[in-house]
Amino acid sequence: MAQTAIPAPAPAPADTVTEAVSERSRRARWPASLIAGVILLLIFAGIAVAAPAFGNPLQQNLLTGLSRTGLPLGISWAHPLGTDLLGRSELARLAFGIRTSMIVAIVSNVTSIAIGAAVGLAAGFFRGPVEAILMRVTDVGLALPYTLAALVIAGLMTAGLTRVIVIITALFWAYPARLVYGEVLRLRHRGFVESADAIGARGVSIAGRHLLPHVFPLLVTYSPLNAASAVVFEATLSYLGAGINPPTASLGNMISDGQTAISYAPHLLLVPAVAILLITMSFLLIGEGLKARNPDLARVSWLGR
Amino acid sequence: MSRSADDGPRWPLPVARDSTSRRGFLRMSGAAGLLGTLGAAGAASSLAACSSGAAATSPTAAGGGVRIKEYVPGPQPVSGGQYGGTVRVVWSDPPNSLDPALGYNLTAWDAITELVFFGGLMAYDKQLGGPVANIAAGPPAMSADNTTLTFTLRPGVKFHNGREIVASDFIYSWERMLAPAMASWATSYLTSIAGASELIAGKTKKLEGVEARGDHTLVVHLTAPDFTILNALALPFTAPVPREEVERLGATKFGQTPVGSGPFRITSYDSAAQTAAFERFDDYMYPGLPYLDAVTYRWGVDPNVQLLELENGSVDLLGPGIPSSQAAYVLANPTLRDLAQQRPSPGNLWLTIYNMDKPPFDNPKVRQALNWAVDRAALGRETYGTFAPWGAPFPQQIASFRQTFTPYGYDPAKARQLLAEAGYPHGFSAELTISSDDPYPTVAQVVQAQLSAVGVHVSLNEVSSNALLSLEEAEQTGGGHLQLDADDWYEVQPTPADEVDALYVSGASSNYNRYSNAQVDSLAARARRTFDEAERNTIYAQIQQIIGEDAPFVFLESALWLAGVGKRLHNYQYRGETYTYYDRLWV
Repeated sequence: MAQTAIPAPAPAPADTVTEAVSERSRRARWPASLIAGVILLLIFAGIAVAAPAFGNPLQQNLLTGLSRTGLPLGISWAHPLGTDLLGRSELARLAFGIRTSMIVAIVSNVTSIAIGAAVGLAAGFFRGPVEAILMRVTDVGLALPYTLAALVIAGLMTAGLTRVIVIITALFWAYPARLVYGEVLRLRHRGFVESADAIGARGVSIAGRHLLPHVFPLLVTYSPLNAASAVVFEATLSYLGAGINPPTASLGNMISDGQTAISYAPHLLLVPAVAILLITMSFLLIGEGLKARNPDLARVSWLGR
Repeated sequence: MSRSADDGPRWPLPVARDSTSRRGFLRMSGAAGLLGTLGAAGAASSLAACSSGAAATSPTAAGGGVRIKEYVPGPQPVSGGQYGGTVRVVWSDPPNSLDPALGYNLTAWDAITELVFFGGLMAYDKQLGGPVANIAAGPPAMSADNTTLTFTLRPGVKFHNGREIVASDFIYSWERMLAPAMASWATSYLTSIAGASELIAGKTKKLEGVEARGDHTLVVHLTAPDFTILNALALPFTAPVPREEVERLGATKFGQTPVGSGPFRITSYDSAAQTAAFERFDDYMYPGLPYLDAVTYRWGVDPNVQLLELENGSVDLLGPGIPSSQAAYVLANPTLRDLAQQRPSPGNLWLTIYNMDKPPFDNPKVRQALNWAVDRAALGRETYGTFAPWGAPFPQQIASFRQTFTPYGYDPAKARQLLAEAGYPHGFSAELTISSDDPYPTVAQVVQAQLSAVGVHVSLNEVSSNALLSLEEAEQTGGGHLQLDADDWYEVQPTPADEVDALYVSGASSNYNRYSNAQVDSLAARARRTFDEAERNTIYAQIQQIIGEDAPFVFLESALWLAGVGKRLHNYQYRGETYTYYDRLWV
């Protein structure tokens, strides 16, 4: 999974990148933020893959998993992260919650960026009515109030992982479409595109073979940010009851359950909240690292690099 | 169906149609319930040690064929009561309307039953027991055939504007409430009054069956004997409203600052600041009451925050009660436990079984199997404090009803056997739709695990409470796709009639799963005509037996009321049907 989420550094256009890289040290190729992000993400990917090893997230222990008065148990050897309101192991639920989040992050990231890239490429390359229609639809997509639109889509579908992925894809494709469209407009009249055109290459071939490789680094840099948003949005949806339904563990569900118990079992809220924070953090660090490596995107970043 | 976002008692949403929607109301004093003495309820309650002097009961046999159990001349000053002070009440939701004909949600109901209005001709005046005379000077004189009720009004009872209440005020108020333009939720409570149905249908503007003889005599003609009318006359939608104030204020303002005759006048209503304030009404019909100078409401507060505010003393009373998710914690915590007062409640919670004309639920054995498969004791650990295990159709605690039905217990072997007999030895799959409100997700997950142990694999579909209500209403018209859902009911009348007439009779307003049993229908009609309580209870016991065996629901739990009451309050009295008695509360 990790491989999908951290795409290898793109075969970036050699003319610009090699010069830039030669000026930079090895540290710049592997900035600290990238290393930290990759390590964190690998840890979470490992937890997600090995989730069943942490126990059964659905096993309720209404008698042994709760205190005498029916309250969740705290941290102990038997339950390293305590139990939740139904006496289920919080550790097992956390592991499966992370698995859910990672699947959502990766799948919806790929689908939303793929759709966005296709729309952006088509609109930027073909121009004319295709551009007008696709970009106006994109504008609408960008203008949608996310939560409200998500609740509407949720009402039309049955609960589950697929629903969350569909919702996130439906709401998250518009931004990459905009991004790619802008880049294609910039590249559209560069020499290599016009010469391909001149020797009679077909439009699809130009878009796929000449434009896409140039757009790719941009998407690679954008995708961790997109994935981070997807993780947060999945949690939001599940929290609102429009995402993953109980009893399936998801970080959003766990937060939703945990908030009512904040006064007597704060770990039920803190554990999933910290997990979301760290997963998001790992994606953002990777995004920062990739950005720092790409001179085309050299901007002032939030890490000051 | 409809419930508020409250964590307290589940509440039905408004259904703007001519029907009884389910109102959630709760319980009487636990101690009094154990004593089983209706009359001594208030004073006997250990929870309200300095209780109402209203307990001076004289079980007067009223004349004219009436068999109203008791007559109590209303709340009286209590020895030790202190005058003055303000009580601060906090709520989750805004009142939907303070117009007594329209108010139905928790917040509104509290204000229109106990503050701005107090009962109507009749009232529930104690924590337990049936309706007693209120604005009426005594119980109605009834004709031999129990279809004509003659009320004599108590003289000198005043509206907050100082005018005396006369018989014609009731006619005006009831005609106003029944008129189609008003779209009141409660019209079906009055359909036994002659001419009410025509008025509801918009065929007339006059309520033929009610006449005023002078200022102090009101005669009500019924189309058929109906004992529930006396309960309806104790509920706020039949309370008199002053015509001149309704016309002066207009519909919107009357819904915010109504003029009534209860113990407190409303002095401000601010929907932006989410507050309302009520001030002592000095001419309240029960002299010497209320004790408090003022009551204030504040709403829009998260249930968990409400509890924190109660804990630090910045509020005195939690309107929606202690949230279900906090009940176990509060009751286990030595300092918080003092703030909680538990009362039984005429309310219950169940899973509704739909599609009883299609497999697998067409077979009663399957429905019974589900009832045997649920371990209610384990479920009770999750809902500790706000619901108790109870596997029977009617709530565990109804003031005037003795249970004879043996509740379903936990017997997975029997459940498997019944499923096998019905042709499902390996069980089946179904979808359970729930609202996301506390405690449904918890309850549903526990039940899901228990049902899967007998091979019934239930998937959960969580939706908002509004969405669930529309799905349920679609079922009623035959267009739904629900298989199982979780729901509840709180009674507004201290009788099983409240549930039977709304949930179980064919075509009843909240009979969402279209349960239909001709025997239940005819027994329910007979019970409604029966004024003798013992005889009536025999009929309701039969009805409960039939429904229990038909098992149109998976009966789960009976409600409890866990009040959050600040330490400075004294003489806290409460009943499920009408909530907190503010008139006898002091600080």
